[in-house]
Amino acid sequence: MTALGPDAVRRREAAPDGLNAFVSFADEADDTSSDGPLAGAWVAVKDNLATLELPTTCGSRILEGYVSPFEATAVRRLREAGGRVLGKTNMDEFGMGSSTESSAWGPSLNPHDRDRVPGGSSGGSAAAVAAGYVRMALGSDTGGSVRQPAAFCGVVGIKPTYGRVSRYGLVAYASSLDQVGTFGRTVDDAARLLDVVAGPDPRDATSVEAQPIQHRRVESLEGLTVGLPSEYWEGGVDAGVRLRLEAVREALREGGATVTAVSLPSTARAIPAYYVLAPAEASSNLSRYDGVRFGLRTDAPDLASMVRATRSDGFGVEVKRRIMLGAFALSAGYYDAYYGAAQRVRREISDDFRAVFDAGVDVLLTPTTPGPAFRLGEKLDDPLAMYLQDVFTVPPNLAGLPAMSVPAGTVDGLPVGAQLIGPWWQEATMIAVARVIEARIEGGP
Amino acid sequence: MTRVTEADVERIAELAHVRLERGERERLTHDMNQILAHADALRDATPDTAEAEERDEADEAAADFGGVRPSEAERPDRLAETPDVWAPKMADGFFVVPPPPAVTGGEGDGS
Amino acid sequence: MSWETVIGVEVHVQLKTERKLFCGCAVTFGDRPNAHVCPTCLGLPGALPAVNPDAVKLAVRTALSLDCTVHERSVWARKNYVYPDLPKGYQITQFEAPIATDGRLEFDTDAGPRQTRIRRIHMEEDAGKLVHDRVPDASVVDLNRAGTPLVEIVTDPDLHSAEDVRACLTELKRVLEFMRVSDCNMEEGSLRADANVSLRPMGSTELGTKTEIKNVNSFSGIEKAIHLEVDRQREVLDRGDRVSSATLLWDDHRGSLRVMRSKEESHDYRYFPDPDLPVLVVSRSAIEEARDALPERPRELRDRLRDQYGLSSYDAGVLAHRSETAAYFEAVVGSGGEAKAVANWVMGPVQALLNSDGRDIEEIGVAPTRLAELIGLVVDGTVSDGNARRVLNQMESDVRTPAEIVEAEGFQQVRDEGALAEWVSAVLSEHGEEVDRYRAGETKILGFLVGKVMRQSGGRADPRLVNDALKSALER
Repeated sequence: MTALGPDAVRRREAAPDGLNAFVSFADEADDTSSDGPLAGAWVAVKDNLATLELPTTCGSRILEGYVSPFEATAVRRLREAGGRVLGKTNMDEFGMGSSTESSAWGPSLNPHDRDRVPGGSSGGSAAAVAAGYVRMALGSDTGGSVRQPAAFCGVVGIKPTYGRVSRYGLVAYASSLDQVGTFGRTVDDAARLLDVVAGPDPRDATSVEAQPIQHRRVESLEGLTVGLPSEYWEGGVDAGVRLRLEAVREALREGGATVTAVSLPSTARAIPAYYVLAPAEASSNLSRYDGVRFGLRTDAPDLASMVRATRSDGFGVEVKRRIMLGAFALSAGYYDAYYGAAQRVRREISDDFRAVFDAGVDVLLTPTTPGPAFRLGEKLDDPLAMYLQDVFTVPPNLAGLPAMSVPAGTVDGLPVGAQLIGPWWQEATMIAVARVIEARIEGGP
Repeated sequence: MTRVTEADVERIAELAHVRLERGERERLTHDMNQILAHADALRDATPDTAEAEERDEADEAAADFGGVRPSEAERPDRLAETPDVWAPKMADGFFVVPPPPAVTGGEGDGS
Repeated sequence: MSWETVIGVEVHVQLKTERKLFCGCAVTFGDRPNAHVCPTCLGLPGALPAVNPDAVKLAVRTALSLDCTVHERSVWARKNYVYPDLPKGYQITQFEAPIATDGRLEFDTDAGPRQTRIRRIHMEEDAGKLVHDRVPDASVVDLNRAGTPLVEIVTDPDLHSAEDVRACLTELKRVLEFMRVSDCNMEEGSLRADANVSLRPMGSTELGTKTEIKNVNSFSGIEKAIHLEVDRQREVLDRGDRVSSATLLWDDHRGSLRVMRSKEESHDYRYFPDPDLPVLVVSRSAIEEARDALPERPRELRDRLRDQYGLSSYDAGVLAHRSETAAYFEAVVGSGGEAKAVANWVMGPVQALLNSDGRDIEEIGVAPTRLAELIGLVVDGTVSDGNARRVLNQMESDVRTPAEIVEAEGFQQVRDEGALAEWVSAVLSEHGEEVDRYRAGETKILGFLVGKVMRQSGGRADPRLVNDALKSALER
């Protein structure tokens, strides 16, 4: 495949059927590439990872034109491995959304159907890979923001174990859940990019000194146990999606895996817990956007009005909704009922997973999303319906587990994703199984 | 069941430092009640068990200090460009902001 | 009704580390604005904190010096409030699980020794500075201080007067100085104290409604502020009214308190554990190591000086006021000086020398061995006390030994009877009138005559022998 540079992608995006996948493009002449595993490769980078040359806006008006004076560790590692940043990709504002529709710079479109969303929040990165603009892209995943758009766009998306990739320079949405993730046209592409950006970072106290991912290629899945959590396969899943997932299940069985039903009883409480914890952390993380030191300022005669005016002008409706929700969940008199209870549910969810993995399950197989890509605007007026899109992707974030979405074919021309969830730090097993799915399922690359 | 009223929402907006138009306030009140109703499922959570938090850090006991930075992080990350390049307003090296009300207003004597 | 005053204090202490608590920026004072800032202490999008282990060590030492229990696990929390000097819109502090609890501090008051319990000590980051009146119609922000490590020390409400508070804070400052954890400079803000004041009927054990006094930058200020507030609360209660809870700001220029407006107060800090930072772990062995290496505390030092050197409690207290003074004293004694004499010299001539140009003892240019030698010359009568002082003043800029200086300057005491007799007879013949008055019974005039003989001798005569010689000549 010939690699496209920023100029070629910019031209394609300028055409009437452009996807609005990018919010900025690098200068093609600026060649800072070096030798390394990614030598010369163009990589798209989500707009919430700090870059020195290009603005970092997080899809928000409050950061319009803001060029970070420091660089994210993941971006630095990408460059040091020889990769070149092609441009910054569109996203839901501060990562809050599942469709890229909350971006201040307009929604991105799904390359498979331009009336549909590419998913979110890393929708621009997923669309850029699916459209063939780049082979690889960086995203971030707080509750499914890499895996869900990967599923909607028919590409591979990996969210590693929490702590695998440094968050330094990743603009925080919900710090205990955020993790840098990778997209690829193939499992190998996504895994290669992950290898480059992974590893502990002294500037991120939550990054972990873990064994690097020991990749292995397997011909047979003999001896491997795949768990199917019943809570993820029952009602609420689109019939077409279910059919595709059953095909994946059979492919794994044919490949030699033992397939077994398991139960994760706390699953139903994952969304409520997530939509308390993530907004709570967000309400605090987004306090720094006050117009004092960087970014947008709306002038006003006194300090408090300036701060309020800046934030009211700079934040979109979904961001306001979540910081309000989060401030409420932490406020005096409600903390225990919401934040405290959500933390306990989070522990229960971790314990559920631990029990299943301790019982000998090597990897879990679930749909990535309940259905394929929805139409633009379809869920905009119903925040709760939008939140429920994340029902299968949120639990691994709450538990800090590695998870990925791998294409599982299409339904009526729309891609469907299969989600694999592995035990903590066991990305290698999950990725090996994904390669088997990739090889055996039609509609792959 | 109403969990937050418009007055609550106004109070929270104050905490969150956002200004809500009338329509926004009504809509947020509706949305928050809907979402918080969904969050009622959290009430089934098991009571707190402190041991759960202990296990993740069990391996840290070997070192004198856990959860502190290694020496590589002793140097500050440099700023590629100084604040005057990206700050909204600066003067003489300071960030400039409008005055807080306490400075402009008169002072009451509390004693 | 008679009322009992109940006061607890909250003291913020800047820890003397080279670098900030969560980033590698230098901790400085008085530098040009925003010269020591980085993505982390500016709170830029994407920046993260990483804990400085040096600050943890100083916090542990502080806690041990106040007899606290140091916890192996403590939790960082976010205190959320928006103000321009707080870059992230929250302060990283410790809330539910602080690094230390349950300590105590003993201190002396005019009414005798007292003690207060220490409820807790937690670590946190300092804010920057919001400066007014620098730019017209605007305020300006300097973030050099943002992220400086602090400990907040919270006492139980065990203090009962402004004098108690002052004595308690004075001793606390001294302990912290002995621990070398902070500069403890109130003017520069490296030590800041708030006081919670309430009154209750004498004999009651319930706490009354308290007010909080903030913004005080001197010990005398806090004493005055508490006096004012106690008087105000007493008047309110005597009238039969209730005290209402409030935060009061001390105005040092006016010497008055004003009520902080409710708008300036944040009512709901929404504390929660900081997800950017793992639990802070201090191992049992690190705590024990710190305990073994703990510097002597002021009261321990005072008692030891008294017992080990046979000094009076008063002298031991003066020498133990600063650990550096005590160290100098001990070094001089270690070089052979006689303890009592050394104590007098350190508290007297040495202190006078330092006071003359406002220096601290660690800046003195006289090595302990040399001072010990000089004191030896006084004790064995080689040089008079007065001339020894002159030698001392010369020693800082003179490399010769004290004995050499005494020799060269001719400061040896003269005890030769012939020489003394000559000076005595010269003085007596010159002052016939005074001699008559002495013989008429006005014996106190002897001092005048001794002075004259001393002058005649150029200060070298041994004053005791002069005294004797004069007496016997006058009574002949």
